[in-house]
Amino acid sequence: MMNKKYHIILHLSFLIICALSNVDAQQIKLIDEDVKINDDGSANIKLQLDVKIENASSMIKIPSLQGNPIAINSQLDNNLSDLVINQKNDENYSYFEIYNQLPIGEHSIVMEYVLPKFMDWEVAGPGEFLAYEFGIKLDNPFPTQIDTFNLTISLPKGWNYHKIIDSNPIFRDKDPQPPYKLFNTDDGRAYANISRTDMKFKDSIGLTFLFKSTSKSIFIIIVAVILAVLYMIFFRDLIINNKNDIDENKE
Amino acid sequence: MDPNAINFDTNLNVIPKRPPSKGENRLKFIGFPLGIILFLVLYLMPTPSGLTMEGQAAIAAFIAALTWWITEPFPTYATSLILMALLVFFNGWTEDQVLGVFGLEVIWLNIFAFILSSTLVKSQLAKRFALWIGLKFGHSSYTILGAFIVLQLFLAPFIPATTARTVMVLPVMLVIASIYGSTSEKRNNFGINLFMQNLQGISIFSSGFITGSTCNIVAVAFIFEMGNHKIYYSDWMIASLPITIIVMAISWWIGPKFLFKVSKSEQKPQIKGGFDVMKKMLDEMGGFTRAEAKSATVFLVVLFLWATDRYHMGWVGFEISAVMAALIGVIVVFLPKIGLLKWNDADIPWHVMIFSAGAYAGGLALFDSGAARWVVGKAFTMVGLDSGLDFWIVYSIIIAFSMYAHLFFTSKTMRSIVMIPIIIAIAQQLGFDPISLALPAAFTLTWVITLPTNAKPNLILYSTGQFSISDNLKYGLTVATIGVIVMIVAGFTWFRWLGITP
Repeated sequence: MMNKKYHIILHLSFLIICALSNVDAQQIKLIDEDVKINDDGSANIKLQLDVKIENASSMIKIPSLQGNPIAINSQLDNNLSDLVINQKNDENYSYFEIYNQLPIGEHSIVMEYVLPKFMDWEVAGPGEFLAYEFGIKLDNPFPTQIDTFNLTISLPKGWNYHKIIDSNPIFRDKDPQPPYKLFNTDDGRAYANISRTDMKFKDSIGLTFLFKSTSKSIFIIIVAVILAVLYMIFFRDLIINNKNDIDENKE
Repeated sequence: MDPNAINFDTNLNVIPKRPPSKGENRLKFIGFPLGIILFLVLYLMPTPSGLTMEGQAAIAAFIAALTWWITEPFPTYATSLILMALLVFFNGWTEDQVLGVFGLEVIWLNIFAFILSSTLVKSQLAKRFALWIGLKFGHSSYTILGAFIVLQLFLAPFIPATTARTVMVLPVMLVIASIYGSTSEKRNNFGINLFMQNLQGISIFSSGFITGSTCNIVAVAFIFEMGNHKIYYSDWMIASLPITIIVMAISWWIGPKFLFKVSKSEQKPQIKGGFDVMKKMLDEMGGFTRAEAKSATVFLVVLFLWATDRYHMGWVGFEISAVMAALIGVIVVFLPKIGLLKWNDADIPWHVMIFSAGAYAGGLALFDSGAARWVVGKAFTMVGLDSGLDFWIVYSIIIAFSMYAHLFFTSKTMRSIVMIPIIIAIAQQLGFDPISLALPAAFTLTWVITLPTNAKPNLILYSTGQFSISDNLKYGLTVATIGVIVMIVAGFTWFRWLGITP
């Protein structure tokens, strides 16, 4: 019991410290995060951050996916940069810290990196009907509001979304449109995109979904054709003159 | 027809035997392979952009079932069971969801409605009312058909539950049909017209009033929230009610005249001795019996609860839903001594319940998987509604689409949720006032008149065997098309005068 209380106090202290260090220092206008899941379970991630710096001494902190990123490349305002970026993994949250002091004004930072072992295929499935389940969720552990967060997830080639199980923002039955969109592109991948505006402290964005291989068994065609042919043989009397028929012209 | 041959009792749970026509047999023969081909094409094609694989499977299964419901290679209830199996085995919906449909409010309401309807038959109240209405209006088939249409128009604003309206008139219709020589075993064109016109009246008159259906209320809420227009009860009624009356008047005229021509012999009661015998039968019934009084009381209490649902919250602190109101009535009629019915007296067509369950499973799977939204969005994009067309072309396309959409999407409320926001968005994108497209489209939401699977009343009426699916399709499509034409003409005239269209 004590341990739990102690943990809560520590956690709250961490959040308060984070909050104090960021208040009004920056305005995150956009995070656009593309997550490409690969056949081996790794993911290539491209993250664009549009930020307005209002205090030159501020450190930028943004939510990140859980995992240990490798090969981080970054660009600042379309130029290769030497931004110092570290990922921190708290028990509940992961986030990036960008240490460089950026001049006051609006900046665009692009980061590209790889998360090995992002999706464990064995944990994901296969479940019923050979479907795999996976979910991605990002929380905002900081008081800095994120004006718009776009999260795009693409599956490996040859896989497609079977069902969206859950989303954050939540999709209610009476909402005119779901908060997510699905689309395919010429690269043969299936994409899902979800957006959240005005993402405040402790708000989340994410999708949980089932996905399946796009290949379908030829067995279905064989069975269906056999059934159709058998039906036409067994019920051929329907088109051969039948005593029970009512002749419409005589009716 | 011998007066004793008139069927004053219903026997809906027994499916009538009726030999199919040559045309129906041909349809049956091609129906099964056609359904298989459509299923294979839709299921095996690459999943279109924006659609889930679950949605694709649901569309494939539903289209195959729709083909089989129309062509009837199997009985309709068997097709529903096949649809349920297809949804589960091809992963269009889960087993729990599919089987859970039988527990939905809609199924229970149907069951309770049939039980309540049985009390009207058992107590002979239906017989009395049918004989009275037959004597009063039965001098020609037109007047009696018209009397039922007026009755439906009168009931629509007071009883929003379409199932309730159906159950009220069903036993009377069965007796009247029987008097005019139409039975489930040997139906005639009078019976088809009577049942089809009531089916249409029940649905179409719901469009005359905001409170006629939940889908109207949902549409008005969207128009207010997304289009910034407040639609009042009177606005809706003044705009829509005349349209419904005009279309039903046309339907009343063209049905017996052209679509299902009522022969001279069918225009008069088939009962030997004619009106004198009917009058004698009514006289022989004597005064109101205790059973009739009980039955009328129970029915009136349930009707009162159905008609006053919006006030329940203020009266008792919660709303007694349509299904709960019916449940109260059913409990009373089954109580020993107080009640009227024993279980064996309750005439519930279980084959229709299975048929409904399959139809609802298919419709809900389409909605739940996002396939319904995808189809609507895709259809509007395909006809190029986002490319800056003239208002009247956009208006006509939207009216036609929203009118015929009920062929595929079984729930009116779901269509309202799916279509109205998209139509408002299209209007805003093209620079039109949202009300000019969304409100006329909303007027068509309750016109669910083409197939038995389109709505609960249709299924209930279909259970009588007084019309076939192809009869429903023929009459329904014709009236829906007339509805589209009248709505388009109204767009140029009536709606423009009211300030709805530019």
